[in-house]
Amino acid sequence: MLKKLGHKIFKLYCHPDFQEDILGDLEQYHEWNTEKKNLRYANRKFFIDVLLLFRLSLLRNNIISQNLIYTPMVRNIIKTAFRVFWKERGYATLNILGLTVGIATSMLLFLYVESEKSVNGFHQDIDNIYQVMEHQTYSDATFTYESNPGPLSDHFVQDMPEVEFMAAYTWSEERLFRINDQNFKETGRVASKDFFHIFEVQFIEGTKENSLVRPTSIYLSKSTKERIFGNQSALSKTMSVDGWGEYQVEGVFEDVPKSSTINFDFIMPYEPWRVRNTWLNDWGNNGIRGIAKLKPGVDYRAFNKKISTYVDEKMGDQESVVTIFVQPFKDRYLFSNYENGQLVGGRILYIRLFSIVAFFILLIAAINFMNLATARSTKRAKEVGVKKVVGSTKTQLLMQFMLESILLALISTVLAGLLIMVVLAPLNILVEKEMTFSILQLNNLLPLIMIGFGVGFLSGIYPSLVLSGFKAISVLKGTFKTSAWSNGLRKGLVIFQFIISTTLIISTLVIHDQMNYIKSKNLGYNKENIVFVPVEGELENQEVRDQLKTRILNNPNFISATFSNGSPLSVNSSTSGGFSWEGRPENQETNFNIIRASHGFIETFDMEIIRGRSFDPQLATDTLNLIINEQTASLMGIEDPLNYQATFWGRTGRIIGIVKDFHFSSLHEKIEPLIISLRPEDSFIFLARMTGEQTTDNIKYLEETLKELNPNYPFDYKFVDKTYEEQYKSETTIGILADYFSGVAIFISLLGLFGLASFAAEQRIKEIGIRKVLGAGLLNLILIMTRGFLMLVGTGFLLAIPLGYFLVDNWLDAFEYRVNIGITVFLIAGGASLLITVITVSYHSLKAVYANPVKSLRYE
Amino acid sequence: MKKYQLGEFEELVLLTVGVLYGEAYGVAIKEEIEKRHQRKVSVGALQSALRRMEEKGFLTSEFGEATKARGGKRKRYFKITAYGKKALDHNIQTRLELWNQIPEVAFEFKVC
Repeated sequence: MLKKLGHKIFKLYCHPDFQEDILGDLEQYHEWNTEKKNLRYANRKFFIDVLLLFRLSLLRNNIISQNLIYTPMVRNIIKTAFRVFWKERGYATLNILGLTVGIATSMLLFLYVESEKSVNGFHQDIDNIYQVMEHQTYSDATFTYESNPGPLSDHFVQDMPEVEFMAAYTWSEERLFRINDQNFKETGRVASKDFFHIFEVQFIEGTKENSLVRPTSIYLSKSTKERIFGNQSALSKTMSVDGWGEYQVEGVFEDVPKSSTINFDFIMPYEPWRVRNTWLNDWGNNGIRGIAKLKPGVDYRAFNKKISTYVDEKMGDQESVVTIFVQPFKDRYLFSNYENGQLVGGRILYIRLFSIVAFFILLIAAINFMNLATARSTKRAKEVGVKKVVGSTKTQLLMQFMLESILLALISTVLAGLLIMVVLAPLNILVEKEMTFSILQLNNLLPLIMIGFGVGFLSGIYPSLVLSGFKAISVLKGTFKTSAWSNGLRKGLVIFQFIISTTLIISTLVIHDQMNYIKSKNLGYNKENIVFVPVEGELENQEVRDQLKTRILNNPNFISATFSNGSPLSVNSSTSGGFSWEGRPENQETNFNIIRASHGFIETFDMEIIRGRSFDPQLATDTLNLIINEQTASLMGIEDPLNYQATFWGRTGRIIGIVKDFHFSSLHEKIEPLIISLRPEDSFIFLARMTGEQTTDNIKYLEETLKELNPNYPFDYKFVDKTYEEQYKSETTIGILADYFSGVAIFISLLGLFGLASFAAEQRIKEIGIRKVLGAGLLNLILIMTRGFLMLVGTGFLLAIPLGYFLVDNWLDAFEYRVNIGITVFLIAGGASLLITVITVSYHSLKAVYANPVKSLRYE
Repeated sequence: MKKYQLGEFEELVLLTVGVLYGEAYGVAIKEEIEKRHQRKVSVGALQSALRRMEEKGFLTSEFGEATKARGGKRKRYFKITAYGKKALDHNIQTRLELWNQIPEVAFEFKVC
């Protein structure tokens, strides 16, 4: 039985030539073994021997033994390919260089897009995690916020069976921890008890069970723990949190990845915080954020419909402007922009744009390859002719040229891999990511190889078809000419390349224009030379604050100083019903932004009071009075709002001044109504304007003063203008990336042009020679040589104008305050591309023109 | 060495084929090696070595007469070719050269 099976298996795999004698040997052993021992043993031995005979050299003919892949034919093709590369090394270099840069750029973009997509992706249960958001609907507009009413999270879990967990958490805050007289300033949040059941962190010490329940528990990230406690365990160690008392460490978790939209180094429990901030219990506030985990299978859209009136119901008779909704947490990063209650995108726009750009850059590189290959096809026509005569089929030739192009693409791919590894580090710094790349990693290598193969294949198809389609007879007879169609196609492709690269140049120029506009825009206040520090520790004391202000102003290098609840860059509180005046229409629902300032605010920021006066330190009653901006003034609809009676948050006073409109939110948005109230008790930051001289000394003076007055807190200062620029960080990054992309695109296009020019010069050497002999001038000759290329680039440029205009106009639409796209942008882009074309092309033209006609004509 | 690629086991098989001149077929070679060198030889290793060397040209082979034993299957007799001999010569030569160049001292195993 076993022997029969062995027989069958053996016949299945063994080469027929070897079967007889080996089987004979096996039979012989079988006979011996049966004699020596018994039949069962012999059968078993027979079977085992059959299995052991499964050797490569004994197998039937197969792919490996027949060498189907690496046949002499393929070897020959590869050899020929390398010889061609070597013989025409100039062109091969151009091709490889272009493809390398193209592949590297698009692979980097691919990595960038992937890393953007992976933000928040580290949660295992990401599909069930949602950010709780709200729309606030007013009569004229709807605003969308990431915040919601304080009591929401507790009630939500009770009322909504779909909600598995919901946790409230606060914005990022800095807190001072003290242990053994050492101070540590860390950034973290307050969160309610189920937070760790939703937001997944890896606990190193402690667990998520019963976390954040005890009011004096605190949870630290690994790096924070190491800063504070070193390498020892921190569990149940006590430290004091400035202003909050003693806390015990109940958990240590792995650092939250950079790719998270919610970051923190510590989490404190919510209860003590809520007890202190009683306003949190009111449904009318919107001071907290929420994150929720819905039960698996819940359709969040249906859920959103269900909860849309939730706050209204809770508020009872009071009218609410708030509509609660949830957004999938995985979309939070890429889809963040809401306009009038509708999702309009966000960073996803840039992601899509980058993907398109990556594709086009690859396309430009592939076009180079196609163009150079077809342009030089005449050079290889003879080779094709001879091969065909000797008996090569069209398919074989097609194979040969395809293989050549894939080989070239693969060489470029390897080089691109190396290039990526070199430029990734600086790129990571630029875009603030932690992208990694290694050719040795499969998930990096695979897309790279796929890109390489794809490019090699796609760019090889057309030239291969052209080359392998040559007719042997006409080629060898010498009556062969490249077809007009293929010339036309080549021109078309060059035009296409330049449409894309000129469009990119135009976009880059406009982006830079807009960024310069943003930086230099008159905001309505002077943002230069203002330094600010947070109000914390001792500074929470009014007397110490007064002391600080006096001492700072004693230094003649400080012009003025003030306290406020925030800088004009971050006006983050607003009210709808909290501001009223006699005759305010009942149904008017408008959001008024609020700045709570102390004396010297208007002066520190150099704001212009167009009517009335600023706050006067001599008048104690000014704490009741308000300054409004022009928007508010016009919204009030009163002929002269000055000295009009108005009530804001329970204080009734008069409007004493109207400040000229200034930009307090980003330039993406319109200037909105604003009121400035004098409330020194709400001081969160201290701001001081300096003269602009001896800035380093001034900062030092500020530091020393603060050290005396507030010794426990490390000095932590910022400049208003720097903070302003940081607001536009993503636009600045986009601008820099756009620089590189358009640089790469134009570089690759020019490489192609350079190759074509050299080819043209070579082909027309005799024509030039004859023209020279007949007396043509240098300028004339250069014109003749470059004319064709300039036409192509010019056409590309003309077609790029509408395309580029459309694209950048769209981008600029996101800004409420934007530059106009002037004609200069197009002039510069066009001029630049034509100029570099001339430079690129004229190298070869000049060489051809300067050549001695005797040399080029002597063989005729 | 590169010219005649001959592994240790292959060399052993090749030599044995020479020794068994005229009688060198699978079972006999295996028996011979096992007898002389007290080592187990698997059929698979032996057969693949034989075919490999045949492909390289060190061996040729032909079928013998069919007999009643062995299930009526013919034996395949192997013979060393001239090229095979060259390979053997080369192998032995290089070993010998190395052997001869070992200085006397290297073999003075005195216990000190």
